Amino acid sequence: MATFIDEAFLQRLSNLRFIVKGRRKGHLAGLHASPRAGVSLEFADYRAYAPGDDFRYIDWNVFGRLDRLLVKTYVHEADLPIYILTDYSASMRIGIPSKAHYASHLTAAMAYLGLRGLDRVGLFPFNDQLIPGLPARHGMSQMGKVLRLLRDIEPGGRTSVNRAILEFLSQTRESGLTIVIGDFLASGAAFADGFSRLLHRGDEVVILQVLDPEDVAPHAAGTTRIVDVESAERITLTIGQRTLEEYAERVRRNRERLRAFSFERGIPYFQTTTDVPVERFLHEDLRNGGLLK
Amino acid sequence: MTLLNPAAFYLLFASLLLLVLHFLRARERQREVSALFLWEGLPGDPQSRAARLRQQIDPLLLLQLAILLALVTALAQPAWRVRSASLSGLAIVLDGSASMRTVAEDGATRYEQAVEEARALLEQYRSTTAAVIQLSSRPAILARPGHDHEDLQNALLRSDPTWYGDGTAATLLSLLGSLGGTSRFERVVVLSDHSFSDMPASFETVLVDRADNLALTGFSVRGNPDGGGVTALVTALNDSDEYQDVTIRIDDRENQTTLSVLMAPGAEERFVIPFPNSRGTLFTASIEPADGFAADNRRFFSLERPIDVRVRWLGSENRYLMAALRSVAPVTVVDSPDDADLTVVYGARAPASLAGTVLLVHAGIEDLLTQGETLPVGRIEVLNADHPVLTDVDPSNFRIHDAPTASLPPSTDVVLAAGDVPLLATYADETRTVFYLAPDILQTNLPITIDFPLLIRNIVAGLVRLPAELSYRSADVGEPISLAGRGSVTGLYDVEENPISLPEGLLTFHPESPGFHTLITDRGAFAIAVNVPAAESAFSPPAEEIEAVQPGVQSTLRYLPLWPVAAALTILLLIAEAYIHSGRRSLMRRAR
Repeated sequence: MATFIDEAFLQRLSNLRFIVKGRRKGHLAGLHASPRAGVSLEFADYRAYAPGDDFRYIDWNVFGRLDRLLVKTYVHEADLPIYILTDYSASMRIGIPSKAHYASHLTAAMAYLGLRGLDRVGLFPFNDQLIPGLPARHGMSQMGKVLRLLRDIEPGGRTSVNRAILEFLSQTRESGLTIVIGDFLASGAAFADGFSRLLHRGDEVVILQVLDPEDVAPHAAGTTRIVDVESAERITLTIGQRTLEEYAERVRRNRERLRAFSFERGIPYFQTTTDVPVERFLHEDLRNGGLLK
Repeated sequence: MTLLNPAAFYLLFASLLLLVLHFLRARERQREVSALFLWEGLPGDPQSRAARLRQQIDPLLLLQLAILLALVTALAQPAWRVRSASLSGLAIVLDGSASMRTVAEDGATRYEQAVEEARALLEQYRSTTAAVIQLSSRPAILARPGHDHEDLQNALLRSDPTWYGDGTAATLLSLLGSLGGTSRFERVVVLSDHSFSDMPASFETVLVDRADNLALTGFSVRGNPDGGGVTALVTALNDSDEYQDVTIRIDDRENQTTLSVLMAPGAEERFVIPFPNSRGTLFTASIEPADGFAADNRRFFSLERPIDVRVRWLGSENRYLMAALRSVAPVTVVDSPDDADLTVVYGARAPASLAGTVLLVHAGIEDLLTQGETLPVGRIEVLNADHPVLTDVDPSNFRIHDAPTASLPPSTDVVLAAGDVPLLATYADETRTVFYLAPDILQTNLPITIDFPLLIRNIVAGLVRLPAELSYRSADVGEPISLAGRGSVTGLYDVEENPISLPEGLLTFHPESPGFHTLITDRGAFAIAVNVPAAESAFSPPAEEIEAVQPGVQSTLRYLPLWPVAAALTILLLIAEAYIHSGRRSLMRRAR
C-alpha cells in the first residue's frame, strides 16, 4: 500500500503544518513555566514584566526605546498527540484508485505533518473494530512504521465507526487531535455516539470524508444487480436517469447530514473524492478550511 | 466502386456472434456499491423495451460492429474504377452464342453491334496489345494477342456468331489462361446480350441490344399407343412484359396442326398438342408471331423408328432361344450371311467358312470348335466371374443335366465349366467373334429361368451393336450426338446437305447448326434433329445482374484498390475500441 507513498510526496508537504490544535490546546509561554522541553515558540504578544519571569523573554530593544520592561509572550504549541483513525472496511476498496489508497495517502500526510511538528502520532486503522495499529510516538522512526503499516493493510470487513472509536478510547488515555478518515456512507447513528464520546474526552476531532466519484454520481444503466460490497446483500434495479437522480439526491442529503452533524459539534469536516489529487486537497481544502497552514 | 471479393460479406454473419456475446454479457451486469441503503427503495425506471434495448446497445457494441464491417469491407477488396489512358493488355470477348444472331430494330444483329463496339474499343487503344475471343459453349480465339490492330479488326469483321449455347466464365478464364493468364490483360471487356453471374468482378460485361423474345424452348413428339398419329409436346416462352397471342404450329411435312393461346408476360408454358392424322417422322414446331431471333421460333424433332437385329439361323429351330433374342431387340431373320448382324447356330456344325459374329448353342464350327462325347454335368464352376456375359446373371440357378466335351481353340476364354466340360466360352479371331454355349438348352432349366434372357442379352450385346434406344429429346447445337446403333455409317450430312466428315472410327459428332441432319448407314437414312439450346431464348436476367453490367463500353478503367483505406479504418476503430474498453474497465473497477 505504501509503495506509492514516496518521499517526494511527503517532501512536497513540508510547507504545511497543523494549526487546528493550537487554537484549542495552546498555552501562552511565559504565563506558566513550561515543564516540557523541546517545544517550539511562536510570538504572540507583550506584557509587563513580573518577578519570576524568565529574563530571556524580556525584550531589551523595547526597554531601550521605552525604558519599560516588557516580556514577549508566545503561543505554546503543546506536544499534542495526534490520533489518526482510518477506515479500512471493504467499502474503501471501491474505485480506482481505491478510497483506501486515497485514505492511506491522507493518513501518511497527516502522520508526516504531525511527526515533523514534533508531535506524537498514533495510527488506528479500523473496520468494524480496531485493526492493530501504532500507539502515539515521537520521531521520524514512527513515520517508517506508519508507512509499513499502510503498505501491509488490506481493506475488508464491514464498518462500525462507533465500535472502533469506543475501542480507541479504551486504548488511549490522553485526549488529542483525532482525525477520522473514511467514507462515512452510513446513517448518522452509525457514528454519532462515537464522535460524542471523543468530544466528551476533550479530543479535537476532524472528519475527512473520502468518496469515490462513482459513489457520488454513478454511471449505470439498465437492469443491474446492486451488491453491497460489505454485506454482500443485493437488490436488482432497473436504473435509468430518474433512478440516478434520486440516488444523487440521497447521497447529497447524506453528506449534508454529516456536515450538519459536524457543524453542530464544532467538528471540522472536509470532504473529497478520489479524483481530486491528495496534494490539492491538502493544500487547498484543508488549508482553506483552517486545519493546516 | 466495385467489390472484387464480395463473398467476404458472408463474414458479416459473425456480427450475430458479437450480438449474442453482448447480450449475454449484458444479462450478467452487476455492480458493487459502498452502501446498499442508498440504493434501496429507489424507483426503478420503467422503460419501454425499445428504450431498454437502446440502453443495452452501448457504443462499444456499435464500435465493434463497425470494426467488423470495416474489416469485412477490407476483405471484400473494394476498388474504384478510375480512368486510364493506356492499358497493358486488352481482351475483347464477343458473345458468339446463337442469341447474338437476333436482329435488332436497326436491322443489325446483336453480334454486329458487338463487333462495332469491339472495333471502337480497338480504335481507342491502338497501341495496346489486344486479343479477340469468341465466347460460346465452344469458344474460339479469333485473334491472339497482338499489336497489329488491322489484323484484329479483320478478325472481328470475318467472324460470325455460332449456333452454340452460352459460354461460361470458367471457359473464358481457361481460354485466357492459354493466352498468358488474366493478369496479362488489364482490361477484359465482354460484349454480350446477357450478364454472366460467375464472371470475375474485374471483367466488364457490356450489354448490347436487348429485346423481348417469343420462343419455343422444348419440342418432342411421340407416337400414340394405338398407332394412330402422334402427340406433340411443346414448351413456349413469352420473355416479354406483355400478353402475347401466339400460334404454335406443328408440321410433319405433309400435314399441320395449330394451337392458338394467350401467353402471360414472362410465362413459360407446356402444351400437349394432338396430331392424330400425322404419318410423318420429321416434325417442325414453330411459333408466331416471329421476332428478331428467328432461330428459336422453330424447333425440330425426328421420330426415329428402332432398327432390328438381322439374324441368320443355322441348324434346327428353337423357340426358347428365338424368344430370348426377341426380348433383347427386334429380330429379322435373313438368309444371306452378308446381311446378317448375327449368326445363330443351334444343334448343328457350321462350316469352317463361317465368319462374323456367331452364337453357337450346342453347336460347333468345323476345324475350329468340335464337340465330343456328352458327359453328365456336376457342379458348375465360374471361371471368370467378372466377364460381362455374366452381368446380372446368377449361374447357380442353372441346372444342366449333361453337356458335350469340346476341343476349343487355345485362346478361348472359358467362363463357365463343369470339370473338363466347357459350358460357356468366348473366342475371337480376325474373322470371327464367337460365343459358345455348350449344352442343349432343352436339356437344361435355362428356358424357364429369369437368367436366360439376361444371359442372351449379354451375349448379343457382346456380339452386335444393339439398336439405339428411342429418345424423345432432340440434341442441341454443339452437343455430342452418338451415331451408334443405326448400322454402319456411310455418310453424314448437315442441314444444307453438305457432307460432314467423321474421323475414322468416331461415332460421335457435334452439330453446328439447327435443323435436320441426315445420317446414311447400311440400314438406311436417319434424320437427326438439332435445335438451338433452349437457354439461348431467355434473355431477361434478374435485375441485380443487369445492375452489374454496363450499358455500353466505357472509355477506360483501372481498379484502384481501396482495401488499405478500409484496413486503416479497421485499425483506427480497433484502437478506439481498445481505448474505450480500457476506460470502461477502469470505470467498472472504480464502480466496484
